[in-house]
Amino acid sequence: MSPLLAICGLSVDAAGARGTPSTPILRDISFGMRPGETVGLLGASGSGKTSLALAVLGLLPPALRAHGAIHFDGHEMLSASRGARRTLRGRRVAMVFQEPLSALNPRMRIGAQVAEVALAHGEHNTQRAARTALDMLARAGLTDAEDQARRLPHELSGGERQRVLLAMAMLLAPALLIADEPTSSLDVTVQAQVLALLRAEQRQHGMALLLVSHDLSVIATTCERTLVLHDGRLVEDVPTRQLIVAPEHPQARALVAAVRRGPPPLEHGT
Amino acid sequence: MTALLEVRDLSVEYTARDANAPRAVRAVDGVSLDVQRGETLALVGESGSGKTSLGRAILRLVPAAAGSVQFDGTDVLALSHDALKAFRRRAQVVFQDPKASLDPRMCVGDIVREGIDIHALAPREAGDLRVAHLLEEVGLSARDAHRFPHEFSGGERQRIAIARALAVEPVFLVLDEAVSALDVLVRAQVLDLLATLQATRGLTYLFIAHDFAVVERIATRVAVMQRGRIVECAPTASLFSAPASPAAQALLAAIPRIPW
Ligand SMILES: Nc1ncnc2c1ncn2[C@@H]1O[C@H](COP(=O)(O)OP(=O)(O)OP(=O)(O)O)[C@@H](O)[C@H]1O
Ligand SMILES: Nc1ncnc2c1ncn2[C@@H]1O[C@H](COP(=O)(O)OP(=O)(O)OP(=O)(O)O)[C@@H](O)[C@H]1O
Ligand SMILES: [Mg+2]
Ligand SMILES: [Mg+2]
Repeated sequence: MSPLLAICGLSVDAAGARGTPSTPILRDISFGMRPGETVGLLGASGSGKTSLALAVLGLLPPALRAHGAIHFDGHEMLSASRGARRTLRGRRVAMVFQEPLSALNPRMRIGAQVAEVALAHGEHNTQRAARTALDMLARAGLTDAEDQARRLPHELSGGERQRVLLAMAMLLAPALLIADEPTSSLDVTVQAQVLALLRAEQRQHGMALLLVSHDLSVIATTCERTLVLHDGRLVEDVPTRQLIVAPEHPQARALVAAVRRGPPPLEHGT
Repeated sequence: MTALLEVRDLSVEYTARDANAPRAVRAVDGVSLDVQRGETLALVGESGSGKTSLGRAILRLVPAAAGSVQFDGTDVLALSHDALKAFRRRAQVVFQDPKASLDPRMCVGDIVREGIDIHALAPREAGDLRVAHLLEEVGLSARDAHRFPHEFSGGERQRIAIARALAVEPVFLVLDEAVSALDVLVRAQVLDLLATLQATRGLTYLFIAHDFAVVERIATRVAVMQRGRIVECAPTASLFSAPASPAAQALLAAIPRIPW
């Protein structure tokens, strides 16, 4: 099968302020993803996971410059025009952002924001769009979707906002979903529900999933293959089981060992 | 041990936007709890159960619909303007969504030292040193003081928020999912820092978290919330070995395991 995503020699640098040298954020990254494939992206805080995701979407801030090649779905993302990238972003690739509150419009009701996604993607009837939005919010585990749809983003709990973003991304039925820490503020029960929803979408629509998470158990239950970033470099690209059973790179070993062993108990205040 | 914080029958109400008439819903419904000096009380519970609302009501960041909050012998809900300012230094919070809680126009050094200046805790140079030291303690570097919040990663922003809260030398901290974006290694560093501060300066924490590995590691006791109420509160070891409430049992049963 031809790859859905092929990244070749991708480097990202942060422009240095006032004459200072630029800082490398990602260095010479290459990997591919097949349609429908589930890939985990693991790495320490600051290793470059979000930057990699943003580069694929063509959403890097102006201060970050990308070199190399990102082929997605027959397009070269780095050289594509803004308009072409925006079209792809809507139709073929979607992202769930790491910090939900800042990813939502603070002045627009939740229901309207989700319905807007449905309207932008083929639905022309506003009432049907509103219904579709409610259904998807409920599937994402919002128990009181009708009430919650009438609220503003700050009037939801952290985990509820995270599920709103997920619902918006699912409505797009993308060929590739990039989810950046999508369960980081969900309790274990809701987390299990959300991961099941992701797997169902993946199976039903053949959606490929790039799941950024620092939680090894989330990646282990969801992804066939896992990439490990360390200091902007791709240091592992292996089946998830192999990463957990026999991690090779020292950073991967450290991340895996800390979870397997369980942390040593702390001394409580004396 | 004496209680630093005594919460009695505390309720928080929001207005639900039903199709019909607006109606008050209780996000926190008659909660009572004590937090002892120098302990870490973890607050767990399903998403939407009211953890953030409870933490905010204790700090008077949202109004309480009913109940009382005693902090170190004073009635928090009755504090005057000046007394509230002093209380806000002693009782700090790390919010759940770090990006939204950091002023995008301020560099990180100014964000961390703002509280030090407001409360006149240190002269200029000592303040700068303190900021540099705090940034290093949370795994960032002193040079990061000149950068702006949007130039950091999610987990780095979370650590900036922790450094800011610690800058004013609080005695009590509400940590709302404060380490949720940190990988296991950085997280261990931050938890160690919190434990050291607790051991040396007697800090008290209300630690809202969904990650049981973190809770098991840092908490003295665990309170379980469900639909606005505390349904169980027990020492950490006994909650893990013999959870009494269905809510706690359900949460423990859902902890994902690595299949290999
Ligand atoms: N606009 C920017 N200017 C300069 N440096 C940046 C910028 N954005 C990110 N960085 C730096 O690039 C590195 C990678 O950031 P990124 O957000 O990709 O990390 P991450 O792996 O997602 O981390 P986390 O798990 O904490 O979210 C970080 O060290 C960060 O400080
Ligand atoms: N301003 C508001 N108006 C109406 N309802 C609100 C408001 N803020 C919160 N709620 C509701 O109150 C309930 C409790 O929210 P809270 O943020 O305290 O939950 P939480 O336990 O912190 O959840 P999470 O783990 O997802 O962060 C939720 O159902 C939420 O939708
Ligand atoms: Mg990130
Ligand atoms: Mg919360």
